[in-house]
Amino acid sequence: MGFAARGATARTVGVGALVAALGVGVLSAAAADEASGVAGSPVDVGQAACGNGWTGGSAGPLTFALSNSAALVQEVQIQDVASRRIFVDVEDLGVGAARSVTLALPAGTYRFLCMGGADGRAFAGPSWTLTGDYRGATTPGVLPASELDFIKPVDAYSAWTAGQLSRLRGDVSALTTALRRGHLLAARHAWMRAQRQYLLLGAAYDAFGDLGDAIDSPVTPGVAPLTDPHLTGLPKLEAVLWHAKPVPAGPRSRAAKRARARVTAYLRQSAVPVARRLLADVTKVAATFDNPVQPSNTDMGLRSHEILEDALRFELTGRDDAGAHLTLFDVDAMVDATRDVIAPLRDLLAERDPDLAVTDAWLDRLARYVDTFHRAGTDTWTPYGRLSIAQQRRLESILSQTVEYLSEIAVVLDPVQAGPA
Amino acid sequence: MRPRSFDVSRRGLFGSAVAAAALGGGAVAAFAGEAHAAAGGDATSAGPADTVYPFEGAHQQGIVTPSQAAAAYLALDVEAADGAELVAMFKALTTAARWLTAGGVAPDVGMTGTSLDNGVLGGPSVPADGLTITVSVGASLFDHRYGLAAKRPHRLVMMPAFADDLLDRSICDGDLLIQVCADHQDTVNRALRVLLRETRGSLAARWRQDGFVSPSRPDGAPRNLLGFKDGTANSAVAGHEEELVWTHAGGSEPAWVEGGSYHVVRKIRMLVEFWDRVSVREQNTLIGRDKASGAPLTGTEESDAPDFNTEYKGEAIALGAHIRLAADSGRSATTGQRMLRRGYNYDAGMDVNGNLDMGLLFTTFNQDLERQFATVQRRLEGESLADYILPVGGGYFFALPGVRGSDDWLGRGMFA
Ligand code: HEM
Repeated sequence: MGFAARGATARTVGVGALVAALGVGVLSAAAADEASGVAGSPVDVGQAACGNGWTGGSAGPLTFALSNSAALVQEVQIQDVASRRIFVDVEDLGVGAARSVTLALPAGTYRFLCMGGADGRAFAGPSWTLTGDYRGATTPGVLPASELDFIKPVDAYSAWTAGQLSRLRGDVSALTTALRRGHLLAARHAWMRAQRQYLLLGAAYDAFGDLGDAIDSPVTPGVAPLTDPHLTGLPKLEAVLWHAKPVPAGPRSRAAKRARARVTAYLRQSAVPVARRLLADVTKVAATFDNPVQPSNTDMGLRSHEILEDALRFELTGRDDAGAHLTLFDVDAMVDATRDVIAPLRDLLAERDPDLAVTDAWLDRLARYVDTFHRAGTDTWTPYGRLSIAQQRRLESILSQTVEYLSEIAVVLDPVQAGPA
Repeated sequence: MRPRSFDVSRRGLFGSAVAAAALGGGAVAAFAGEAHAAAGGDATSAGPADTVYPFEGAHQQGIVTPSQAAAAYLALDVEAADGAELVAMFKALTTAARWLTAGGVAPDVGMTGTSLDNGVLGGPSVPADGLTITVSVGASLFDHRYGLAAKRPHRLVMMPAFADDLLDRSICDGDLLIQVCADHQDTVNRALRVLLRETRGSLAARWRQDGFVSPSRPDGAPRNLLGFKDGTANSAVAGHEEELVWTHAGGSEPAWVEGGSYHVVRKIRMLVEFWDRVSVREQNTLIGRDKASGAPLTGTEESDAPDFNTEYKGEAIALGAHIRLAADSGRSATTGQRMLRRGYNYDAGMDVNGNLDMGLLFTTFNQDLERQFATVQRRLEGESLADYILPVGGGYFFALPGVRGSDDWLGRGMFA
């Protein structure tokens, strides 16, 4: 079983290469380059001058002062010539700007890649070698993913989403019918199907814009969901459906009949109009989605952990509960939604994410634990509030370990500009 | 699980001298260095402003290490699914503690993941800042879950409620206690976050309390929040660590405990509003020492030994005075009841009634917690000072033996 120990991996020594790569760490240390004022061996990374100033040296820790002499903003990478893996990606190095990057590399042949953005060319500097037997830990490299690599996964995910939307439409339509008939338990069941189907679309939230908010409006903190005027769509129906009390089946007394009639009238009055509007919204989303507002490439990477970050933030805190107390049912669907986002990325991840198998194992573990609170074959889930403190802590622990691993996906799949062929 | 390497050694990259130089001069190390020299210890000071305590050794750091200014106590329960995961958790803790305490930057994950470091201390010149991470285990770890029952340190039980206690069990006990101490609060914060992140799936936090040690004012032992110098009598422990602090294999103890120590934490609230309405003369009587100087009421200087002779009735240290009871009128020296105390003040804001919630994270490291802490605690039952303090939380733990080499890890002996 894979497990924690992110820091205990074969990842290694090196100094803040990632920080530098993200452009938030302008380093300053003892050996500053005179010209640029930042630490390290000076290297020009301005377009055709790419790599000037550095001709190689000893394997081990390296600090470069990259300076951009070109009239274009540069993206700079250090690449292993044979494997094409890159170790550093400095984005948005401004005209005349300098930045220090530090990493540790084993013996080998490398080069700088200098890319001038949309208007500029990609240049590869001359190859240089590092020699010697360096035993310390080194900066791990990655096979960069480019925008091109995402065409297939994004297409696949969009097609999948379109199919899911039409299913959602069917589910909401069935829900509307159940509400019109005034059958409370049937309506709750139909609501759960629709809710799950909507949660499965996890990655596509942003793609729905305002309609997304109408379908799944946020629950206002501190306001009773039933009387919250801003509540619409699925949460509004949840508030209404779980406010009504089911009348026990069986008794044919006049009182029971009257009670059933009251529930029916209540549903027709309070829920049917909400459901009609929901159906219209879902129909509109389904109709316009084909004209795709596709999830962007980075979205798919980010969504890989953000769906379950939302679970930590909105489900385990009860913030998204409009009355059904179906927290665990929601989390269960969100695990599946996460798997659905990752599915089209698997080929890309197989080469790039060393923790993919571990990530899968934690998703499975999370699903298994969540399912222990479900009475199989029924709509019955233990309300989150009835979990013991120990159970709540365990759930939090498993869920947060899972998002730790999932969060690596966005990083390894963050598309970088491709170097020259 | 993938094979993990545990020898992430990274000191060679950025010398700690660089880190120290980048930080500029500071008074902290001078204090720490001095205090440490007094304890006859093993810190290496990397420069004028940084203190590095070597991670490896027969014992863990953070026990006889001179108290750093800032601390966090974090009690956790183990969520590991089985023994293998439990072992992996101890290895992950070891790896993180090793690089955190060494100073310098985090292991570099390049572009394969988010940074292991949270950047609270910036970079790349990150000081060790006197950081120590002390990992202790609670009695509950030796229940049925991981098959460790036979390995339980002999004296390790669940902390009982003593006569004057008003324990809130939600801030007591835990499978594990991590005591993080450093010269500054930001270093503690950074380390705590890294440690939690490295063990998310295997540990669940149970309770936490941060603490601080005040500077010595104007000299001698730092003061607690009753305004009294606290820790003076520790000088009587120095040099007797083998008999008073460290546990040894043999007898009723399992072999693996060699070099560990029983780690008692008591969160003791001080009713400071009440205390501040009491005259200093009365306060002196309650403790048995002079508030201003720290001297025993039978002496003139903090370093004077208290005279517990009861013949001079008027001047003697009162029969109910805290130090008389705690020291058993001085006889504890011969019975091995003396103990190394390493407390931290805590300040946790206000309670719902608007009273200050502060006090002492009383901490002691014992060779035998029954012979030392529990015996003394029972003797203190009903002491006059008890009107002004209220034990509310804490627990009994066992500080694991030290990590003895680059391939060793915390707790390994338990699994042998
Ligand atoms: C909030 C609670 C407490 C306060 C404010 C407090 C305060 C003090 C003070 C001011 C001294 C004298 C200075 C020194 O030698 O450090 C002292 C000594 C001592 N205290 Fe406490 N203490 C507290 C709780 C405890 C507890 C729970 C124990 C152990 C069960 C304990 C054991 C001792 C011992 C052994 C000494 C040294 C006595 C001697 O040999 O002179 N104290 N304490």
